[in-house]
Amino acid sequence: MIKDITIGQYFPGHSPVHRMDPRMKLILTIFYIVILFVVSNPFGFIPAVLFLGFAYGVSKIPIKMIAKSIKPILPIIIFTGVLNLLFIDGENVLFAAGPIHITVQGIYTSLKMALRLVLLIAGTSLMTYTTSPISLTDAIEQLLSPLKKVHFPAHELAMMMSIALRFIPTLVEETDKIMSAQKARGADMESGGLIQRAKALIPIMIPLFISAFRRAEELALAMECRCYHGGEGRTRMKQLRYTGVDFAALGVVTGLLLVIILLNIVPMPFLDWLM
Amino acid sequence: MVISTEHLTYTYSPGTPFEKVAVNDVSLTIESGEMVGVIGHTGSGKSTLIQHLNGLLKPTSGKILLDGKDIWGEGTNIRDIRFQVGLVFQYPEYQLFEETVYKDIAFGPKNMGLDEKEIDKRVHEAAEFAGLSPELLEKSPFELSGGQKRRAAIAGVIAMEPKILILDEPAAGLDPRGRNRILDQIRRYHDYTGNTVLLVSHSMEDVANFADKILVMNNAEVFAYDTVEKVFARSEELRRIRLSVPQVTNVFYRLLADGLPVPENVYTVGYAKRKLLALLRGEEENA
Amino acid sequence: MEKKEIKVSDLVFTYPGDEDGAPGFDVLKNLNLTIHQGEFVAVLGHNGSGKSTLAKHFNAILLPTSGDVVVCGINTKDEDRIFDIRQQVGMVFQNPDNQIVATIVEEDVAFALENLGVEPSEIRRRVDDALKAVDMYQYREHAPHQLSGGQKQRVAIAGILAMRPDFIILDEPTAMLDPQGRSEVMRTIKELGRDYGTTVVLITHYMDEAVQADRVVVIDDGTILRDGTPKEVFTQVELLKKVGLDVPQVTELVYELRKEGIDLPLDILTEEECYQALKKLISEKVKA
Repeated sequence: MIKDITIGQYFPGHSPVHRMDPRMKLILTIFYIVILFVVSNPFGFIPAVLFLGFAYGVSKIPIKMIAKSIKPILPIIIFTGVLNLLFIDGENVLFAAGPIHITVQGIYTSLKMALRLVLLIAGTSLMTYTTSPISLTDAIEQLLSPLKKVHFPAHELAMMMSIALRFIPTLVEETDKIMSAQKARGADMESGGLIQRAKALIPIMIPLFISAFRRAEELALAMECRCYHGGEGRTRMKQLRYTGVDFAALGVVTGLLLVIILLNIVPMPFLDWLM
Repeated sequence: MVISTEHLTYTYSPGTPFEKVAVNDVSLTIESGEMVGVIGHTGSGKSTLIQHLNGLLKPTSGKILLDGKDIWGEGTNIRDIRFQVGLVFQYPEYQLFEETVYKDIAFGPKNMGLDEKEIDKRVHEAAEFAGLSPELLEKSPFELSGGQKRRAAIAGVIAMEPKILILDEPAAGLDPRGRNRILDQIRRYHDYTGNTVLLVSHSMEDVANFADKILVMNNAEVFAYDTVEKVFARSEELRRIRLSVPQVTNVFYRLLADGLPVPENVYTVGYAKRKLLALLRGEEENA
Repeated sequence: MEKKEIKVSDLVFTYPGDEDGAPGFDVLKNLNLTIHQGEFVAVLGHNGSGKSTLAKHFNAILLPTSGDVVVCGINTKDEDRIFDIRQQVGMVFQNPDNQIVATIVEEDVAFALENLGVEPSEIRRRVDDALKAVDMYQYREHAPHQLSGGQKQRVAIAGILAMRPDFIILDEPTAMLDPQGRSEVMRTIKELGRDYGTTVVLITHYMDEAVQADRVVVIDDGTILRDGTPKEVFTQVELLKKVGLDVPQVTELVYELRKEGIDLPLDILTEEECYQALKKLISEKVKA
């Protein structure tokens, strides 16, 4: 049934990666993205790929899941690849026809960018595969909480996100029901041109909005009855806490950065023809 | 119009961990003009079954026949089937969307491609069947009371003049007054038009009061499909699948079990009263 | 120490007119009622009788137009103590979907305690207790949308129970549930009073639920029509029918038979009582 579709791509498990503090996972994911852009020569990608392979291994997320997460953005990867391939200038021209000339530098750059994008997606996906949306929301709230001092609504933002997560399955189910009900009255949603199809959505969208507003109103009342009054003075049942795994992971990623910086500064004249 | 199913089976999410057989090998025939009560637990398959009868769901295997013609066969348009078999969902008021009650009731007839005059006639007739006074037609559906909204939504399906009308728990969540009003209106609609009506309900009392036949669904299968008397006569079995029979039925079965001369098949207060009075007064006269 | 009770005196609530000039009207008309500690009270009335409006006065969601509602000595008009009142008077609503805030059952049950700033370890303890009390502990890590209606409603009850309130007001908690869900929730409600000494106020239009209470208050047109034990109230078959309410089938049968001059006890509410009475009556006739 439609409501069984999982929201986000959380892959429940008990691996060390799953058990890590979501804040640390978020920080390290950002850290890793930075690292990917620090890499400046082909050897630098080797530890970056090895690290990610290791992380996937530890988390017991099947490698084929990487393919699944990359699939939707494959066109972007190919598009940027082709763009780089065709328009990067360089000395070692391999092929030229009119304005188009393919150079060694072009091939190198397009492969580098493609690999970067693949690693970036695979890295962030690992975080969403191993962290439930709700812990992620908690992590965002906690990490942004210092900004409360400058009146940034960190708590409100997190509360909105978690309520949205809570109600997505409910509203998906509701949409399904309303669609069936209108179909039973002969609503035609499959044929006709663009305008007609857009019009056919009205009998779905209006009841859905009305229902969402009614739900919001009732939920607000129920929250008030349970003494909700914003983030002030609020405690949490589940306290986020950094543990050994978190510090170990932090160490590994810092190590990775050092290795890559090292590989960047070691002179490699034999690679000059690529650059 | 006769509607029947042949070995109807429906599986949700086949090939996934969520796979579930919701309707399993159901074959039944509902004759023209019958009033059938449909009873079963949540998850018994009754909702899935009724969504097959108007072609909202396509069977995994088996057939649905309308006057002997396969509704998924060649040359049939599934939208036409939906006009012939009207389905009113649970809490139908949540589907209202037009500016006025009139326009909302007209939505179905308009989709059928009828002309203005015919639509106007049908909207007024349907509103009357649903017990909505004409001045309500120009109001916004969202200004109506809960019971009125429910009836307006039912009118929207009646206006398509389906030969078979299916209602999924039309009285859910209403207070006794609202419930009686809706059930009375449905009864009157059935008596007046002579169309087939299927009434899905959780209440054995309501079904006993309104239906000629009862279809009991249990675990995706037909548990019983027979006249009201014959189904309630199996009260022990019904209790075993955790469906309750009306209070008076139980009382009479217990009296019967004690060897007392009371009739079987008692399920309404009116009938129980007549039979008891006859029994008690009859004895008095003899004495 | 104030008495643990909810005291409603001369309560009038006027629904305000709208800007289009529609006049306001009185939903509650000079209503007096006291809910005592430890009671299981059913408030019975049809839709629009004012029963839900009354319920919303118990925890200061609505404030009286005139008159007073005093909860354990605190007037609901006292804005500074609004959270004291809401902590003592918990409220469960009709639609289970629209009162669950969190995406995980146990986090939802913790919600009120987090709002009240309770210590994390204490929250954990109370959440576990509350989930066990409604028999939902094994579902503590489930997502709400994986649960049935009755289970969701029990989670909502646990969310209130975790606050350890003296009173729980349930506003038609079973109206959207199937029979199985209804009986689960009713069982839970009855256990609250019996095992935890919580005062329960059940707003309903189902007579079969009201029959299970200690005390039934019938509301019609914003006033109290009857207030008594289930036996006292439900034997008034004519009156209840007049205000659009039902009585149990067996009560109606006995009432109808009595009207015809058959000698049966008046106060029959259950299948068992009806069976015994009819058995006695018919056996005597048969013997004669």
